[in-house]
Amino acid sequence: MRLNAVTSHSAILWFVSLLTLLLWLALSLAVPQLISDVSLPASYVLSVVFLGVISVVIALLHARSTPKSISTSIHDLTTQLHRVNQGKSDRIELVLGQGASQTTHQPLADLVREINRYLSMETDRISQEQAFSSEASHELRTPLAGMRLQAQIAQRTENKEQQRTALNNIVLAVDRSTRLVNQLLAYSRLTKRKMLSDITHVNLSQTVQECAHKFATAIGKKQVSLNIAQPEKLPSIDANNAQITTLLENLIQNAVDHIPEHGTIAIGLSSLNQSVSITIDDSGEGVSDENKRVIVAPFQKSEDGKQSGTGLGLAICQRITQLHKGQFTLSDSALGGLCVTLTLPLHQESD
Amino acid sequence: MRILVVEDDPILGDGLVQGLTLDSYALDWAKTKSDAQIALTTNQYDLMLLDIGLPDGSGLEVLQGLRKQKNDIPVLILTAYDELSDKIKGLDSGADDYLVKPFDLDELRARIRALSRRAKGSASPVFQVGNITLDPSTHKVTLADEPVKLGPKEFAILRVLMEKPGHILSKAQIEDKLYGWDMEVESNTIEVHVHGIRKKLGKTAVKTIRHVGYLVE
Repeated sequence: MRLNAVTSHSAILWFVSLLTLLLWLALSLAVPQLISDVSLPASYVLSVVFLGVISVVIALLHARSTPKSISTSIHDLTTQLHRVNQGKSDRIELVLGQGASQTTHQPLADLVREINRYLSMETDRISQEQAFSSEASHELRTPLAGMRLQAQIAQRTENKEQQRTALNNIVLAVDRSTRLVNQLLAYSRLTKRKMLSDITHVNLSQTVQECAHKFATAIGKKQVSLNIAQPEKLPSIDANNAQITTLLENLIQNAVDHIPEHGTIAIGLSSLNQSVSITIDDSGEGVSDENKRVIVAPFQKSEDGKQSGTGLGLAICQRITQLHKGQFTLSDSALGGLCVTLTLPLHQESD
Repeated sequence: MRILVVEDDPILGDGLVQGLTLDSYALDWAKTKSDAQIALTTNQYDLMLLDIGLPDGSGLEVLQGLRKQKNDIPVLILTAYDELSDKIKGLDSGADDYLVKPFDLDELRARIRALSRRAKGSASPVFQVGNITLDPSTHKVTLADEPVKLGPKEFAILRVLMEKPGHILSKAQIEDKLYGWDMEVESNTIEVHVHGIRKKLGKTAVKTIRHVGYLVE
């Protein structure tokens, strides 16, 4: 930007020089007696010297105004960014010095606006992460407290039955904490970079079949009927297959957890214009509209107080869908329970 | 003494109930905010253990509601949040004490004893009526400085009576303080245990007021 300004200024400079030269020539031709005692080549030399002086003056003026005021502004912005780094401020502001023009500073103003946008995004992200880790610690401390109490009960009691129950409870609490830690890791690994690093053409029909297959035992135990409806030909989508698998597994697990025995789960695949839609319906009790908004956030469980999940399953699903630039919606299912609808675009544009 | 445990985690909640039953308290366990609020309006409690993060809201709302109704039973908050601001918020909402998870069973028991002692207006950790003493922390009972061994229910009945010497407690009131929701009460249990106490501590240790109840004095 600074280079451009300098070049345009030198162009003006040379244009002015040329004009002066022509003026000088015209004058010497029209009124020769004015310069009669000076030879023609000498007059050329004189004009060049004259022009040189004018150029230097203009260049000096030029150097004094724009580049200097830009460098002052940049220096000022650096000081402000330093304050941001020290946590004393959360945004920067472009202050135009005297003689600075809006036009020459426009690119700088654009840069400042972008930096501020980034800073506010970063502030949001940090406060979200702080809230997340605080919640995560809460979630881990409770099973830890349970384990400690149960262990102390096992130590105290002489009743063999009570001792066995307490020890079983410790194992349950350890398993639950392990599941939570695994989910926390899974959630923290869901970054854009990771997702983009392994994009392939995913055949959703096949992935859905594979995921459903993993629940064969759980489904058999609860005598659940699981139906998959799909068109004959479904286009493949650009996606991270591992993440899509996690997404589908979480949703099927959720459905299995929340339906009664002999319940029904229906998975539907369909092809839309530039995307593919997946619906997962269950015949469970469903979720109230208020809770639909709540349960997607990390660590929010539905109000019934049932402790089947870690409170991260749906948050993971939503994050994966977001990373794939898809849509994730919860609605009431015709089967009576919850209906989760995912819309995933066919193509992932890298940006 | 009847305690309401408000905790949504199944294993921690069970641990609290089992662990405190060792001290012969009567325990009721509410797993949600609304269950806790119902329990508080339908039963008389001597103390409440309250978790903050409940599935249907904050435990602090239960606490604020309780204090609004001028119910001043001791409340001990069980919190996973150890930030100073969280502790202050809990205490300012009307809690008497707090413990940060995970906590030690013995510390919890000691805090419960301290809170219930204060609530009864006594700073002394040992109850004394006549030549009988009862120490709630060690479960030791003495008669004329000689240790006497009581069964858990006998101990619990004597503790309830000694907390308020001179006050008559009906059989129903004693049962209420001895048995939680899930515990079966046989019709003549209290009589049987009072008989046991008298056998060990002397006929006049517990007095019967016909058709009214029992007292120690």
